[in-house]
Amino acid sequence: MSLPPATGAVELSSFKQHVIRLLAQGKRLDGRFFDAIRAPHILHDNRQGTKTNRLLASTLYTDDTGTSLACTVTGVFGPPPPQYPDEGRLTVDVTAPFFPSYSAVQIEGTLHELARFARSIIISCLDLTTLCVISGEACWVLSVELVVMNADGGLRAAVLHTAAAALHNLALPKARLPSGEVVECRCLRFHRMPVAATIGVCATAGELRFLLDTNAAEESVADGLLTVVVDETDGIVALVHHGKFPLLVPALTDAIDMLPSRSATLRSAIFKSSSLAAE
Amino acid sequence: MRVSHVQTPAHRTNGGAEREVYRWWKEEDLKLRTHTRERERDKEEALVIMLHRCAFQTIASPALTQREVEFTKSAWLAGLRPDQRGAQQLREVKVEFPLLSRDVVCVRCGGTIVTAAIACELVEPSPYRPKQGMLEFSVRQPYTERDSSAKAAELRTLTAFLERLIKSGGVVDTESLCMLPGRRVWSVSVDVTVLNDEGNVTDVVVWATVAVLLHYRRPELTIRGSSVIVHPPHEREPVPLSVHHAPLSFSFVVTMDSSDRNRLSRQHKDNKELLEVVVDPTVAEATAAASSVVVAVNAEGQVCSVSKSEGCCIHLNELNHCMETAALLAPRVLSLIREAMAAHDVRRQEALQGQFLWAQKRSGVGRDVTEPESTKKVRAET
Repeated sequence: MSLPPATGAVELSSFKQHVIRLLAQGKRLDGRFFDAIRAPHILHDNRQGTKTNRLLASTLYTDDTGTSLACTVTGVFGPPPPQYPDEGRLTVDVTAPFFPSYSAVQIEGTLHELARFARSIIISCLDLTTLCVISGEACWVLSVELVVMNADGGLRAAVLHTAAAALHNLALPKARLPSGEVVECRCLRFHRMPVAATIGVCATAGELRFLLDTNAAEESVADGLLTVVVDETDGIVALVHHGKFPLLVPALTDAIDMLPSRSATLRSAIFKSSSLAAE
Repeated sequence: MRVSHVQTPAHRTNGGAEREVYRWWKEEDLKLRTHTRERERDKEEALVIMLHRCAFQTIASPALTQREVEFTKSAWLAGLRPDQRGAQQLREVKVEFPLLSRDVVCVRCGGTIVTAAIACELVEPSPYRPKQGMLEFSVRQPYTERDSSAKAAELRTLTAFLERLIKSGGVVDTESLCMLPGRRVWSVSVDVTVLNDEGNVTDVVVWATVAVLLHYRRPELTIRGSSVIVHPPHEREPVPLSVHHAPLSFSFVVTMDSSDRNRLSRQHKDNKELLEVVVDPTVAEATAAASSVVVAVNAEGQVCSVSKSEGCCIHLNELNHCMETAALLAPRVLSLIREAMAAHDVRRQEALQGQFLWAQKRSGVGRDVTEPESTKKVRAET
């Protein structure tokens, strides 16, 4: 989902009209091309001394237009889920305390869906059996807590990138169970590295145009929104598409094809930072 | 002294009789207690048998689920499905409107049964959207002991999917539900109940919602100034909702990962093709599958929504195959819904005519009044 754009003192409908006029002229609000991506930057907090016993990782996600998300990963021991006794547990929670809005219920629903989306993709790309300590008795319980400090569109992609950057190459420390057994150190690793982007569909004068990596203003005026998640083999990990404008199959295929040509750039920006941090 | 001595044996005899009576009573009590204990034993045995049978019949054991999963995968390797359907074949779909009113629909797809009910009400709109009506969806399901705790989350996800598909997708024109801007708008609520779940609940829920939105009629209004007159159905004909297009969703499951498929195709060098993508999965197929895709298309073959969240990766050719198959299946399901609507209209007309037949007969009671021709025909026929 998308949160409403923060327009400051400008009225929302006037802002939308302005964005629609710019898009009709082939321009975007921040001067990008229609197929350009905002480069993400991932910062890791690697000071070992300041970490508490439960805090495992801390990352900050920013991009050029000011989207900012903070992510902390905490780990404790707990019982495994009864349906999957050989797997660990992973919970994702998204909060947005600094976002003023008239509809708190709508914001809560959006954040819940963001958390569900990120968790499902991470579970698809991460082997949860790595978190198992004793089958059926003890496992690692990882809590990924994301705080949306500034949102400017593409929240699904931003949330996924932040959580994936925090969990990739995460070192689970050497620890002792309450029963006295010592659990050795191990490293989490993604067997598929997902990258995501939001693609907006604009139907201006009967012509379909696709905007890659939309911001909040474009999402508020777009006729359809498409979130694509791909891995390094260009396989589709996840896909969410809904909107007022139904698309034909070739148009949807063209929209999906916009991301794989730029996924290498995104993947290096997100996971290379992780590898650099691990060194 | 003799008299007293004679009385003593009498007293003794009385004591003995009392003792004998007491003994008899005790024996009777013991017999009764024994009988009661036997009855209790019978009840306990019956309870044990009942509990055992119930437990055996209702709770699906993990071993049974594992056998079903293995059988399903073996069938897919052989190019078949466990219930002998084709890869792009739906189960038997029935759409019916069980009541005479237009606000309840029942959709069956094999063993999955879903009921949707719709209601509308004139309410005051939200101050931020004074010219738009309200659409609300809720999906409920009676719980059984075999349902896990994740069922509630699945139903919430399904409700969110419905809202994204129909509300955000522009299926119903919410501006046409506005009667007096800022004061009176229609609030339409659709309540979906899943009566039985044998797989593919998402599709059946969407079909039921679309059918009830297409068939429903809201009351006619007359607005004069600021006064609103709601006409009952017998005064004026109700008005259908403004539905722009009818999206129908279809669930597909991808049987196995592409790397697994390549490895197995090397092992099996027969000419048999492995099933890759399967439509309308049952519970066993959904459990055995590697991932799932939900595609919503309308009757013109345009894709309204695509959702693929968990499981292995899929590729663009598989996704194209899903969307094309959904575009082929959507007109058939929509024609089933239209046929059910037409049949329901015919049934309503017949019921209405049956209701008013007595009035035609009754109009001939007075002999001095000239009989209308319809009554004469009826009498001639009888």
